[in-house]
Amino acid sequence: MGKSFADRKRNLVCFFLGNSTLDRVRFEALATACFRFTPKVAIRFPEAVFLDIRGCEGLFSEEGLVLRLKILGKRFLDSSTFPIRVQFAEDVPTALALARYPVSSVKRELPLEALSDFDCPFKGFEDEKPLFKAEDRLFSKDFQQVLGKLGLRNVGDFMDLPVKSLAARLGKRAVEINARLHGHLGTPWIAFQPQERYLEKVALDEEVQLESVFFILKGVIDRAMARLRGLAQRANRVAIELQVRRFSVIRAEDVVRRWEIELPVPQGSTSGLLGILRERISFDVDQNPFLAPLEQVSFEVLETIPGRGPQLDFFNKKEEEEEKWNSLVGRLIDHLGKENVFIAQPVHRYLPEYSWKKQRWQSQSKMEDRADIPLASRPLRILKKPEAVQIENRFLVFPDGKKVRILGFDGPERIDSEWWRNAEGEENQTRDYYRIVVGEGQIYWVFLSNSQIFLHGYFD
Amino acid sequence: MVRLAFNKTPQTSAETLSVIQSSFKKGSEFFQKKKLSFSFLKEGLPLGSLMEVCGPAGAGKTEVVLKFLSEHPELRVAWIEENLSIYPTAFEQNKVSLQRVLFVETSRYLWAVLQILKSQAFGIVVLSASISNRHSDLLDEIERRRIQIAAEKASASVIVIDESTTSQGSWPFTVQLYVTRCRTTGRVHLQVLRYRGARQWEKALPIANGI
Repeated sequence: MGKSFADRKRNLVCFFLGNSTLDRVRFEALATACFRFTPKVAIRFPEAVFLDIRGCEGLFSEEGLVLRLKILGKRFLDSSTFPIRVQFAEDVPTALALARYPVSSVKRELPLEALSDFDCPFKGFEDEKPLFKAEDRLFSKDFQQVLGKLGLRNVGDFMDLPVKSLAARLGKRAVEINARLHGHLGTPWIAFQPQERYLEKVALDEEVQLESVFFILKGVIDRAMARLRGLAQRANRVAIELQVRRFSVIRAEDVVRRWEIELPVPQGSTSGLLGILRERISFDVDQNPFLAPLEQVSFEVLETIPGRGPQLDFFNKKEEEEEKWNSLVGRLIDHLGKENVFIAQPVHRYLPEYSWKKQRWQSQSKMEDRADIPLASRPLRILKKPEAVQIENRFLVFPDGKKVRILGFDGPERIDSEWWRNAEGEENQTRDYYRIVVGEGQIYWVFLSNSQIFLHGYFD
Repeated sequence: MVRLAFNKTPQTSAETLSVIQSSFKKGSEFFQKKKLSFSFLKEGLPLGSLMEVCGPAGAGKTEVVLKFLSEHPELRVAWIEENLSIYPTAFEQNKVSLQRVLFVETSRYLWAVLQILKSQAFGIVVLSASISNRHSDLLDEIERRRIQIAAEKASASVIVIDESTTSQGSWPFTVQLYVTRCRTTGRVHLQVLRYRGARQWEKALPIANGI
């Protein structure tokens, strides 16, 4: 078992991305994906995501969380050249500073530059709306030189300065920083609010084939799914747009081709969704190829529904199999239609044709209890519509004139239609069912109703 | 089996039926509930195999397959037909839980079988010819081979139910069974037409055995 941080009070996690080139949309998508670990997330764009894991400590070990965050980071960063660091600490500025300056694991040994992180940990000067203007930077290089001339070498020396003279020498903000360093002053938590809309566009620099587009899409969908999982959602409706270069011969309406796909089964995994999109887009593009090279791919999740991602169980593959089912059923329904892919559900009805219903596939845990109706033996094959037949002497005669010799039979079993459904427009019927042995030993299921005989099924 | 006796010529089907009814003794051997007297494929099918169950209409092919499924409740089943004629209520009667069976009705059954095998979510895929389309070969040689390769990759087994027998030399099939029903006792008889492999169950499955 990994170390638990419950007893160490290191409940603040800084997920440090360094000088990553993530744009705002993707950075926020990464932050949204972090909601899977804790509901309290804050950001410092574009450097760090903070997680307050108080109350969630029991869910992860320290090593497990580091590993998960690093894997998550790799899904969002295009290049692995940026160092991803995960630092645990008792407060936000300390976690940020220790992550930024990994030379030390002790706050007091941090370099003087780290003081700026204690000044405004959630907003950098590069932020769109910084707390202070760049020219008001308290810990500029000149200022650090002054501190150096005063004999201060690190944060520990700054912490040792007498507080009473600090305000007069360095101003109010220096007092605040000192208080933060000593843990006397907390940092107000600026909670991150995820965007409702998920839209990502990827520009294609060079000419690519359709198969390469799916490769690019995989990364995009992967990030979208990570984000949705963080919010305990599943994609229900998605849209894909493929834009080609504008050539003079291409009509304006052919420049952007858009697919809006309502997923038959809400998808929470990349492989499931990608399979469906690949089928749909490949088929359409085969029919109607692109007239120019692709320029841009965009992916948008239009509608989501709540769906908590399953907690993978190392010893039980049930959840994994359920994902496979979801993905497969989604693809089949997309191609064959909802009516043609189903699970049968017995219902409390007496007439054989109404004794079951098609049910859209859903999680097995949500299956309704099945109806237990004691029944006489039922045939394995049934005709969708009973077929009128005749009995002449010892022969069963079909409408096409074919005759089979009757060897014997069993019955009747009387089945009445439910009289209380007459109001719903159903005809009241009384049927006497027989099992008839014919020809080479085959058993047919026929019924007598209103002096007419109908073939309804086969014992196959 | 009781032979029918007609003292006078009946006028209508209903009358005929009543004559037949009066001529028939209840509890005939034919309709007595019979337990399977053999442990049909209790060891299971070889993984990645393609099996054919063929025989005339009403011979008991579906019954044999359901018996196999009921003996292996851990397997998820995909049941594919062009025009679905299978009666799901009978599954429960044959002790096959409907919750583990996915029904697919399509004329594009090759595509559906390959998709299902690719997903690796099912242990058994049953491809059944419909009542209305049982006199033509369900799959050609190339399709059978494609399915067999996909089944091998997915470690799943595919059972093909058809009325007409594919030629005995069709090599993608690992097992070919021919099913008939005895016209006097109603028992189902199995004949192993082909078996490719080195499993023991072939010896445990006599040529004529009954349900």
